[in-house]
Amino acid sequence: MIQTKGLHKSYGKLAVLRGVDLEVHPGEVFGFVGPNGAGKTTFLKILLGIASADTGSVTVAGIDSRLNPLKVRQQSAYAPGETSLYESQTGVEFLKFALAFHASADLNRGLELMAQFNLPPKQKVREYSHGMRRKLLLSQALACNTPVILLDEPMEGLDPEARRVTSQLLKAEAKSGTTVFYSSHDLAGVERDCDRVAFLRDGQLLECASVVEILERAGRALRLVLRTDLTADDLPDHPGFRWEGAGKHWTLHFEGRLEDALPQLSSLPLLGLRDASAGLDDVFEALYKEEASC
Amino acid sequence: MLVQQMWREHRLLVIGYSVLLTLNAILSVVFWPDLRDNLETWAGIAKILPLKGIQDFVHMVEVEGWWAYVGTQQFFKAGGVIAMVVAGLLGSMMVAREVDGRTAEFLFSRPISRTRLLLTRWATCLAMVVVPFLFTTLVICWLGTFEGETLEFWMVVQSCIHLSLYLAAILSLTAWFSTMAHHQLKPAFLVIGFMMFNLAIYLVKDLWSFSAYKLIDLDLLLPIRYGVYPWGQTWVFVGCIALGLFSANFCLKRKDF
Repeated sequence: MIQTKGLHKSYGKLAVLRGVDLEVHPGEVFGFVGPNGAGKTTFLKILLGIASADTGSVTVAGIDSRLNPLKVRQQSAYAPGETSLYESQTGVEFLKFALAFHASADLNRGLELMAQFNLPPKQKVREYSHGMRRKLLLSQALACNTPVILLDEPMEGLDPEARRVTSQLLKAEAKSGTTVFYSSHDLAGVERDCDRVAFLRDGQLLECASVVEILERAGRALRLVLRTDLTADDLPDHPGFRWEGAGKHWTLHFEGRLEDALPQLSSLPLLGLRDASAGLDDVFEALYKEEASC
Repeated sequence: MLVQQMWREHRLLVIGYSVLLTLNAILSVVFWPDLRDNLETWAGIAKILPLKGIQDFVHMVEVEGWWAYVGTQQFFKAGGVIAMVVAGLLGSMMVAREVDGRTAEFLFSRPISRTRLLLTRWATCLAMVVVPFLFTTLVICWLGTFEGETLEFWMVVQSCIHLSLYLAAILSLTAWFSTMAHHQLKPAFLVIGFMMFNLAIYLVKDLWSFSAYKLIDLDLLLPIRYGVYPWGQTWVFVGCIALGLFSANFCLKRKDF
């Protein structure tokens, strides 16, 4: 549904994207992760044709974004990361304005979504909080009824309940065959919602795989709190074990099964133990630390 | 929807501008009998002043009467200065306001071509500038009849066309600069500043022939009465409109948001 090959983009001497190859399948929720300035927003803008790539190819819904950006935008709904809106409009006026350009848009659906997000339709947008603006942008994007939904930081500024609702809505959209592509810093959200994820750094793709696969590959970890201070030499050494920490607080990274690792820890003065197997945030940290040291 | 949105954004400016033009029209007519009846005194005062524009104005009124007065008050002052400022402001905000207000990313992600968006906005802005001007031209002509003054219909229409083209040229050139600007008022400062400089030149005896205001001068408007239409200046305006719109479209299509 979305395909890019060798995508390059520079602003002057600054290379923002450096040969990004990516493929997103129909009906999947795809997470696009990276630190600030990694090139996520630029990538989204290039998909929509509101920024142009220097080299490389981009197709969205089978349409070449560089040759026919208008058609791509007809097939794609977009909620930008920037929450500046037309301040003089009310919420419902903004919704009508946003949807007026999309032939397939459903205003009633938009109004339902606004109600679901508890957005006051007749209140001026200038009186909306940051989170409310984000919800309004999400409402218009989800009401466009397009085969592709592109979202830039959709969870940023949302309260936990709104995140839960958004998460459900995105999954429902994907279930109905819509492709949802979103960039995010909310790694827990990406882990919860996305089928696949890609990690971007300095304009280059570091990793792109299914969330399950990445987590399996990342290995397991246990967080230990000890009664007394220990040094690394005092800790059990076992093939596949890697210790991190100091004093009373240690993290054990290991491969394999939990029941095989636990007996090795019986000699330690344990005060507390909890499963800290890698989430996407750990993968993110490891990946970026690794890259930084290269 | 775009037109509605633009009206919502600019309605206060347009209403204020319309009120100003209407007041100008009413006050002009109110002041006219005093000028007409004391023309010799005014001519004497004008001779003392070192401003060529004022001297010419009084001389033209002596020769052409009411038509020269309407030409100055409505076409030169209201159209050439007040409406020009509004055209500059609206043109300036046409694209740069979206960049400045950080709404550009949202707007340009909608499925609408940039050319269509530009032309819709340009036409809307032109209507916002020209319609109040045309309306107040009718007002001044109508109020003049109460003072026993009438003007030929086609003469007024042709002068309106000339001024509308001038305003369209200002709007188009500012719109072009707007596509390259990041601050919504910078192009307006540039264009209005340039025109104000030209207005200042216009009032100076030895420099006035170099002023851009020569393009809408009374010397051009008054002969319309005798069937002499200023085609040369019209083509200058048409050229500016074409250049402004073509360049604005060219820049907008290549701009990353």
